[in-house]
Amino acid sequence: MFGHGFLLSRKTLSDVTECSPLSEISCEEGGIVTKDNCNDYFKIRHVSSNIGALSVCAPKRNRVVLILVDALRYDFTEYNERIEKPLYYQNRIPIIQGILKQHPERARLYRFMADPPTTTLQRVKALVTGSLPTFVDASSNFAAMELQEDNLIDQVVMSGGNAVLLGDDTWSRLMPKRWLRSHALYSFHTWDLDTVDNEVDSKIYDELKNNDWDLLVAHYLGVDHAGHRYGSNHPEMARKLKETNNRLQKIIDTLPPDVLLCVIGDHGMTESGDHGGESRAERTAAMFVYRGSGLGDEGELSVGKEVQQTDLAPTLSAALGRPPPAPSLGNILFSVLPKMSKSVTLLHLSNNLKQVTKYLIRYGEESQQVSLDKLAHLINATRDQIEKAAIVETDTDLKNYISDVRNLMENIRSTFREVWVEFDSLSMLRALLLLLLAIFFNWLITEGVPFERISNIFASTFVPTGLMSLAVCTALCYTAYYFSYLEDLQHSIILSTGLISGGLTCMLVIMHWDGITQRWYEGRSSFYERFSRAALVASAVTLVSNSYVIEEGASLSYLALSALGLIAWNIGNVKAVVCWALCGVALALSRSYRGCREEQGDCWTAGEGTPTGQASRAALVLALGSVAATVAISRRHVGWRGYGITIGGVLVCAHWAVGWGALGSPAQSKLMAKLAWMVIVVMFILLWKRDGRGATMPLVVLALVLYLANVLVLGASYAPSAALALLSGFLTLNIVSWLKTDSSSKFSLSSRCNSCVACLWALLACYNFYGTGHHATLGHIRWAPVFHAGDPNYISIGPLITVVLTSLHLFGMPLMFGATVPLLLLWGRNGVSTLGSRTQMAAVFSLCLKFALCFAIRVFVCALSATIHCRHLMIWGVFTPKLLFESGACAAAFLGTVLGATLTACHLPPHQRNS
Amino acid sequence: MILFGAPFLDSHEETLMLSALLTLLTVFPLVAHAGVESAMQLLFGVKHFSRNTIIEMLVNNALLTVCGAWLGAVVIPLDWNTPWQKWPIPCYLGAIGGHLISNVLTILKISLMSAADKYPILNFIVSVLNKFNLSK
Repeated sequence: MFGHGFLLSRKTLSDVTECSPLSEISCEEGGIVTKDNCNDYFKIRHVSSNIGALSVCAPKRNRVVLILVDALRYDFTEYNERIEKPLYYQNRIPIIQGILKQHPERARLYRFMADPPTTTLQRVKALVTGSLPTFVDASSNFAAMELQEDNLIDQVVMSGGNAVLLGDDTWSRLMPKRWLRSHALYSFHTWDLDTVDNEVDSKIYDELKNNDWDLLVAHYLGVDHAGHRYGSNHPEMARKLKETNNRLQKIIDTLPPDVLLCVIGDHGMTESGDHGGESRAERTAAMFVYRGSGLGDEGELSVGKEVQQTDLAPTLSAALGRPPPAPSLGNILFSVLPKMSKSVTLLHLSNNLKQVTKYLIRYGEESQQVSLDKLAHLINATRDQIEKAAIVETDTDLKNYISDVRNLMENIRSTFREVWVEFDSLSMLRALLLLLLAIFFNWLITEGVPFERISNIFASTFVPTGLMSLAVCTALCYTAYYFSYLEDLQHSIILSTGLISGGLTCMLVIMHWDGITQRWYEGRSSFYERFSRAALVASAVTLVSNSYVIEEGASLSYLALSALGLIAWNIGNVKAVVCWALCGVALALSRSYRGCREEQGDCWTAGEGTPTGQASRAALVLALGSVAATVAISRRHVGWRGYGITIGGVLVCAHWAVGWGALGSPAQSKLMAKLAWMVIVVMFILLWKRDGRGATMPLVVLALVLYLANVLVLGASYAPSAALALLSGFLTLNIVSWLKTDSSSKFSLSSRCNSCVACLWALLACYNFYGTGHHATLGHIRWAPVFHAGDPNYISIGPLITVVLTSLHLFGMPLMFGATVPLLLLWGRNGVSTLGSRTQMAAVFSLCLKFALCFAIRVFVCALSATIHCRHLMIWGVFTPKLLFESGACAAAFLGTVLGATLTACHLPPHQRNS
Repeated sequence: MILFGAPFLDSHEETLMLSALLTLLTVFPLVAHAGVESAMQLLFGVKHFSRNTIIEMLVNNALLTVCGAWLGAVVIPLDWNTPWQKWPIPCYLGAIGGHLISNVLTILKISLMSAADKYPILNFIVSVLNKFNLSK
């Protein structure tokens, strides 16, 4: 019941994840239809001033070479002769200034302002779409990284052009299958300065001589990596910049005169060489444009002015003779395009304006993030501008017109930027605070309130009062919303109910303050208890560091084994030590089932990370053996329920065996799986039948049933890992039960060691998430388990089944461990089961709360670290998925504990329960 | 040690070296001093030892060495990519560091105790040190 506190605060948290990565819609713009017959001056004039007319392709197409030097800050490209002792990054690229002086009509250099977050992936996305960076595109498929929006490369490919990619594989991951030739290299080794660059160098000069591409993208990583490794002021940086200089020299020499060369940095870097944030040094990149046969007028943009990175996509697509990509919010920089006639300029401008208008309209339809008034105002303004194009006659008119359009676009951009780039820090803070409050009060209650009192609390009116007040509060909020006093219904309900339940638990704490203080006064715990608590806290704290999150499987097993080892040591007999060793063996064996994630370089490239669809013969034998062994051993000890388990196990085995290999028949295998599910569900229902012999047996059976379900979902190749998890849990149970018999038979003592046991159990549960081959990345969600028993999409409750199966596949282990929490108390001869049922119930309740508390602490730390690192390089790769998965695991564990606790309550001897 | 996740198949030589080092630092002196049976009993806390003896020093040495090796493993997963982060090196360093600290503590204690004979005020520090050692 205090769990209300948890549940509500968790809801608030998921709310935060929704509103912090302010997502947006993907607008596939189907409207731009191209016509290639626009050589006629008047036709162009007509089209460009007509709102309703379609966009028209510009007649002239240029070829473009886009060279992206990662982290090329603007001041790297400056050259100042008066500096006597240049720093390592100063005056290293003299060629740019040299060309600017020699041929001012052929080259331009600008400050290329990036929007935060200044990380490469987000920058590349923004560069090709011309939009502002968004983090998780809500509509996009989670598993694939592929860019769903319209972009520059798509535009090129659509018009029948060819694009060639050299360098960083971020591009090929974002936009696969669109390249004529792609030489993409793995870019994750931040410490390797040269490999990618040398590889690109070996290809680029040949590519430049080829004639079959329209867009050539080359991505150099060396400068960025030098910055990450050594900082910006280091001899290595000087070396990399010099290399860049020579490279540019050579490229410019080989470049045909009609090709547009565009050298840009995607972001800058701080003095220490990092990037990702929003300081000026990180945002100011350089943009250098060169064309052998001259560029257009400078206009207002003299060298060194600031331009926005969103301008690149429309500009380049204009150079390639295409309209701007659909989501682009930039304007065309005519100073970096070849000289063109007035009418073509107008055409480009009107294309740009039309595209933006369309985008504004579509965006207004799909989302309420920007207020409608504002949108309507902007749309009208763009329409006016398009109409004005008709009266542009002289050069001065054109100049004014260009600057008008520029201002308008600037306006639109800043409007959207406000909505997209800022985090909703207020709601994040609120959620964190609520969660902290809930954890704190629950900790006080579970640790502080003596057992005798908990049973009294249940008997009192506390629980109904709490529920009543929650209901009243929700009703109040809803009425207020109905009469439009409140704007945001969900937020206010969550906030107020959270506050009220917090207040109620606070009341409880105050009422029982004497008991709490008394217990603290008495309490002295031994070393191993403190250690296992410390281990839990350590496992939570390590979530703050990205490298620990990546290697979390290993560190969790390490911590769990250490804590368990200390407990075994404390017991001090041979049996416990042997059990501990066996448990260690089980965990070590499950290591081979652990998955790999992209950041774990060696393991990932070895190809182990990719899940195989069909299990090998050895894996099948192992799986069958493990299920058979588990069933055979456990069957005898669970009475009549053993028959159900046996049938279920046999069906599971049959499902695999029949469906395996080329000989198998998928239809029959699916039938078997369906039957197995039916048996599992029937067993689950039968569990609730009382037989008056205590709750231990049903709990064991519940664990076995959950195990079978897990195994079914995990599939044959991962099934033994579930058996290993079950084994490790069983051994731990034994050790824990010895601990109680050893230390004292007195009840108060045995309950005192509860919190450390709960911590240990939570650690094991978390570990087994990894032990069954999962990882906290979105790419690791597998969809195969959904379809193993047939395609659920054909039935009416299909989506529900899909969700249930997927989440069981992901969080089955925390669920299983959560459901077996009461066993920790009941297991063994000297368990609590000899005591009165009320005390028993209270003990189970408090242990379950402690277990849930462990998970809540982990979620809290995850949320905290996501908040701290909200500008970190890896926030979207590491921390946010971790937060999502951790809250999922927390929910599963919570559900499991509720299940276990209710089962226990159901099976308590009824004649005592009424007392 | 293998149970704690040491790579057994890939780099068994290094793992073996670490085991040898740990054995040398923990069990070997005890066995040499007290014999096999009683050394095991002492280590597993079955047999009690009196304070301020060489045996106490040896047991403390062993415990702190293991603790040091345990703590040493903490830095392995961090992504600093320094050469000393390769598998057994932090554990070596931790074990040796733990051993060193334990010895330094013992020497400190003994010198303090002999000094405390002259200056009774120092007794307080000695008792603090005693507590610290026994809590392990």
